[in-house]
Amino acid sequence: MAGMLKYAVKKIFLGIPAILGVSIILFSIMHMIPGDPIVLIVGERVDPSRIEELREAWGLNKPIYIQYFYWLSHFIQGDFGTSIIHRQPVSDLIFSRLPFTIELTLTSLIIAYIIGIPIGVVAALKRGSWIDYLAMGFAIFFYSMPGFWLGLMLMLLFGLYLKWLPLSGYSGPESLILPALTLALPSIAMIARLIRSEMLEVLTEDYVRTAWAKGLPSRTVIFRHAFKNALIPVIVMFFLQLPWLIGGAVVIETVFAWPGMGRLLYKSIVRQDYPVVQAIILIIAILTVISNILGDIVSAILDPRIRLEEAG
Amino acid sequence: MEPLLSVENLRTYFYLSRGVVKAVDGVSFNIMRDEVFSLVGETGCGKSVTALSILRLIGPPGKIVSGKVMFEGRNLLELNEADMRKIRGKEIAMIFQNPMTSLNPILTVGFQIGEPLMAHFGEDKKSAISKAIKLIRRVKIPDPDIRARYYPHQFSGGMRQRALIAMMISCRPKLLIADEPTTALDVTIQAQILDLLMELKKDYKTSMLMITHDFGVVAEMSDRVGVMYLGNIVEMGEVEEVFENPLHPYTKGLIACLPLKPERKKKLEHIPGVLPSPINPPRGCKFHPRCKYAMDICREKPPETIDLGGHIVACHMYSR
Repeated sequence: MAGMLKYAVKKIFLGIPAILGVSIILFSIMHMIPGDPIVLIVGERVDPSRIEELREAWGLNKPIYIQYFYWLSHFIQGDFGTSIIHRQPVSDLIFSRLPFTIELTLTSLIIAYIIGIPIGVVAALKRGSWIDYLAMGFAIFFYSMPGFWLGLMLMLLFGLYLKWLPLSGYSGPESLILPALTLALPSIAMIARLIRSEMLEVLTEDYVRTAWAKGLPSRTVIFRHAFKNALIPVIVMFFLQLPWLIGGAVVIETVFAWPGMGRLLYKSIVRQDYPVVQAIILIIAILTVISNILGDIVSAILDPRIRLEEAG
Repeated sequence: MEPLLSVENLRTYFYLSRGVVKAVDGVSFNIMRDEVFSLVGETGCGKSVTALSILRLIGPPGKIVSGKVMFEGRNLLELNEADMRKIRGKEIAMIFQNPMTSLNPILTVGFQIGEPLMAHFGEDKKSAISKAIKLIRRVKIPDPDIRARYYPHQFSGGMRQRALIAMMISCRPKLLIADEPTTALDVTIQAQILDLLMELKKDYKTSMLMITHDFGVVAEMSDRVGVMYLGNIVEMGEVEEVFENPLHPYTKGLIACLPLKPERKKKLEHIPGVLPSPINPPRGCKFHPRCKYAMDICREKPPETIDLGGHIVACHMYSR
């Protein structure tokens, strides 16, 4: 257990430079984008001398690295600046929407795992049968569909024609179903394909043959010896998928008018609300790094080989 | 006396897209109680497939096409899967070639050794593991109660093979199949493992089927030997007899290859040519392209097996 803790702490410390790197790149890109933030805020018809006054007051005449440290130190303290459009603190905007995004992404990931894993396992065990071909056919289909189109089709079918579910917006738990499903479908496909190929590989391992040779019942061989080993990369994938799904949520939230962070990001980009864009992207970057660290830690918990090699 | 295991005319084919590989093509032999029988031959001759076929561990694209595997009066090839499961690990157990990959990396060694006891005797986890600890001691791994909680990657190759042996003798099988049990190990460990196997064989009164490509191992361990070439047994008999009086040109070649007498310092012998493609084996006697005694009939007709008083050979030179 001490080794595990040491391993976790090491991973977390390695994550900090990654986040700093992202913040520097992000800040630089934001500064390279054409357009004067002051003009954006106060409008073009303001007296140029007034603009210079504001530039000095807000510290925008200082060298870029000073501005960066200023921004970073405020960011760390939870002060993400003020939205140009909404005229309220960015942190308020983000944290009122973040729970919606987390609800959406976690729900869709859980759906994806609950549906994807059995499909993949059955396809692997029935390799080459019509079940396998059907499952993998669907998997390729849904994996290739663009999310926004899939979302629109689901809205059309369940919202407009069948009227079973609300079209868009947030009006209660049933509003979650369509966007979560839209986000989950490609993930179901990916997880089903992943666990299928992992199972097929593990089933040919020598230790699975050993398990058969011991005379274990087939369910023991398949679940205890094969499935448990095949599951490790799939569980790690759960954590690696989280940030990817938040990215996907930008499109899906926009299509479904879901009041989450992704839609806020989309609107802020369109309206050039840079403080909001900057803060959201950095938050996504931090979530990505955290998810990766969690993925590493969880795989170390599941696989004794990693645990001992890296900590030892 | 009734043999413990009797393999009759066993054929196991692999159906590949390139063609059919007749890995085992009409193999027959008996293993008596308390006997060590060896199958020896080059890689790809079908000796491992024969062993796997006995336990019916052949997966697609392989298939046991025909033959009989009689074990204590029952044909294993006709049992249903549930009955076959009761044979595996309990009546007939098998040790594999590569100890590095034959243990499950995410389960403790103690648990894996105890698993057959749970499966065959309905033991609970606790008592199975406490028996596993005794077995670990029996195969001479130090600190058994600590090592039982280790994972396979914390074991050396030799220790893993010991652990696999412990696992496979846990139910006191009547027949132990050892498929090249020392091939993947260091030379210094090989002798230790073979000694351990012989010791356990005596203690447990187990019969053994030893699969090897090493005639040295055969000479040291077994009572009788079958020499395999491309899916057939070409010669079979008592080990001393086959060693002193090899009949088949292939056996002669194999024995000549052994670097037994280093003082002579002459060039190592070898059998000319390479193993032919198993998809398109040569017509007639499969060994004829590499045989210096090949006659016309060898290219035409596969040889019959001839019994010369317990010493069996499949070669035209001995037919009358």
